[in-house]
Amino acid sequence: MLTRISAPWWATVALTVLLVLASLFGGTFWAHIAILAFMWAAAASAWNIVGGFAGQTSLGHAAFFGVGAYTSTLLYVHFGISPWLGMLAGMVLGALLATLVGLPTLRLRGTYFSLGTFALGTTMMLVAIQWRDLTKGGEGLSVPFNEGLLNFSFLSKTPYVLIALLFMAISAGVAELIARSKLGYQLAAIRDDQEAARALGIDVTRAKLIAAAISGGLTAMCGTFYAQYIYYINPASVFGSNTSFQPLLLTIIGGIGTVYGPLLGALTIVPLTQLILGSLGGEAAGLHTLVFGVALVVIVLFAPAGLGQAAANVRSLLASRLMGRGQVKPAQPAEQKGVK
Amino acid sequence: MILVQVVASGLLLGGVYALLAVGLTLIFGVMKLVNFAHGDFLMVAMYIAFVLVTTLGINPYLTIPVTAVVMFFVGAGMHHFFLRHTLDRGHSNQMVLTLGIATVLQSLALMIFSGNFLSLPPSASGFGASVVIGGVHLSTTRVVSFIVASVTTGALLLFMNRTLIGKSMRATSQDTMAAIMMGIPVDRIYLLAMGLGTALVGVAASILIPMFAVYPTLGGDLILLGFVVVVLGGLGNIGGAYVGGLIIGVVEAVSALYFGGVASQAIYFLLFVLLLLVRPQGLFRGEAG
Repeated sequence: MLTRISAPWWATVALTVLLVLASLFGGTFWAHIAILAFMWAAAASAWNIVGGFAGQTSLGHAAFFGVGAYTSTLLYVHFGISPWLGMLAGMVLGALLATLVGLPTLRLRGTYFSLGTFALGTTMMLVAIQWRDLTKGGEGLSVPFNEGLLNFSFLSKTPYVLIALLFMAISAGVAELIARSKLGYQLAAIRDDQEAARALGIDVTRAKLIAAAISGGLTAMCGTFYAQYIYYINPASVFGSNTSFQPLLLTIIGGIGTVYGPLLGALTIVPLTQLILGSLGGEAAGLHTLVFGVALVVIVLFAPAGLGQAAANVRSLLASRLMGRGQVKPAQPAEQKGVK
Repeated sequence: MILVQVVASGLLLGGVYALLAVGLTLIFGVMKLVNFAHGDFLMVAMYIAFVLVTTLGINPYLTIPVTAVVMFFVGAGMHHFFLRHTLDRGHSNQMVLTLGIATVLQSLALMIFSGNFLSLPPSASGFGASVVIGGVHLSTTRVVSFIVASVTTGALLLFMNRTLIGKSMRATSQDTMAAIMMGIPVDRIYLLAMGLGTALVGVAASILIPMFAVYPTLGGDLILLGFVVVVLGGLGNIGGAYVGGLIIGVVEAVSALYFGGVASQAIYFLLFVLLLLVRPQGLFRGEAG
């Protein structure tokens, strides 16, 4: 299918290599940046399966992230079950929750779906705060540290870099498989015109539910990673609305509905905001999120198809200028059906 | 007796929710825009009111004209500089744009005012602490806020029903294409809707600041509540949003009495999801259809 690797993919691969090198030679600060970037790339890629491929703008993915984080942590704290197994359990629960929640909410259209999922994410946070016996409420849970591969706990940051990279590859790999499969085409048809898709014999509900389950499971995987890397979770940090918004925003910045988009968005914006946070620290609280917000506004206004398409445009522009070949194509705005 | 007390108190606070939601539903109805920055506009306006009160020493309610006018231009500016360029791109694109603007506003507030909760001393409103009506003690600030919110909503309804501009806005809300063909300058109507909806948030800010502290993420905490009220009242239905605000105020207060604050929120969000599934058009049919 891809005989020529496209410009956005070159950028994505180059950024990944740069981040891995930086994490190996740049000390713990750069390793931290790389870990967060890969983790959010994995989460954004998972979100994109529902939000991009199927065009269902979910604002509640924190629910699955939180379920992943709490499942593995609770199993580890109470029963000493390896977080790896806890992660698998969390992924199953995340997929189940996505299916259960999806059954009613995926019937909602456009705005209503976004608002409904937003409310569900917030409800999960409130449940986690309220259910003190299980979750210790707002106090949160600390993950006990016992170094070892089985315990998903490492003193050095290098294993985390590799695991986060692996998770990113899994998430993007699954997305790529879906994009090429029958399901991928069905989702694209649903995104473009649900009624037409139904008329063509696509089982719309089934396709959406499968996408939601896969997306929820992969998001839960990222939640476990977060818990095992930060060693502390509370309802606001894993179930909060920022956790829901982050994958969506990174995906939009990179290019929604494409496999590379979520990766490109995360690999550029997360390091950028972390660098600002790291270099200015407490002196400029709010500056890193300001950059995030401004980047978002600029992208939506001037490059609605995302960074990847913008990169491709620049490349074809350069090619035509330097070598007098190639066609300059204007940016194709991501076609999203407006809610009627 | 305590239940009557709680219901009355919830009803009064519901008036402010109503005012927040009326602006949100006006914008949604006319522009079909889910404005995630609406709560953050409230936060900005509350900071403006707070600074005015603390530096000039004036009564918070006297800041209403200032916050309303300033926020009108903030809303109109948001349309002119940002939203105007994305209206043809579908709802998720616009929603993300408003999320971006919300993030920018929150970050700026954090940089300027830090994350502290800022609140006015109880004496700032210039009234006594409470009034007693029929044996029920009501906080004066809540009574005043309820009256201001109700009068403002009433004025808006009159404007929408009696003036030509108001009717043009309703026409745009009901069928944008038909409105364009009737010669209604839809772009200017959008600007006006965005300005008016945001000006209402300015009024809400001035009546909230004697009661509640302001902090940078206040908008994010309130926006979902705003949407709950809007959907309850029927998307785009101004009268519905007002009644919806009162209902949510009472539901929140009563369930907080029996189940505690956090559980009460979970309860009305679940009610909201149920409502979306069973009756997405809201209790009252939305103007947006």
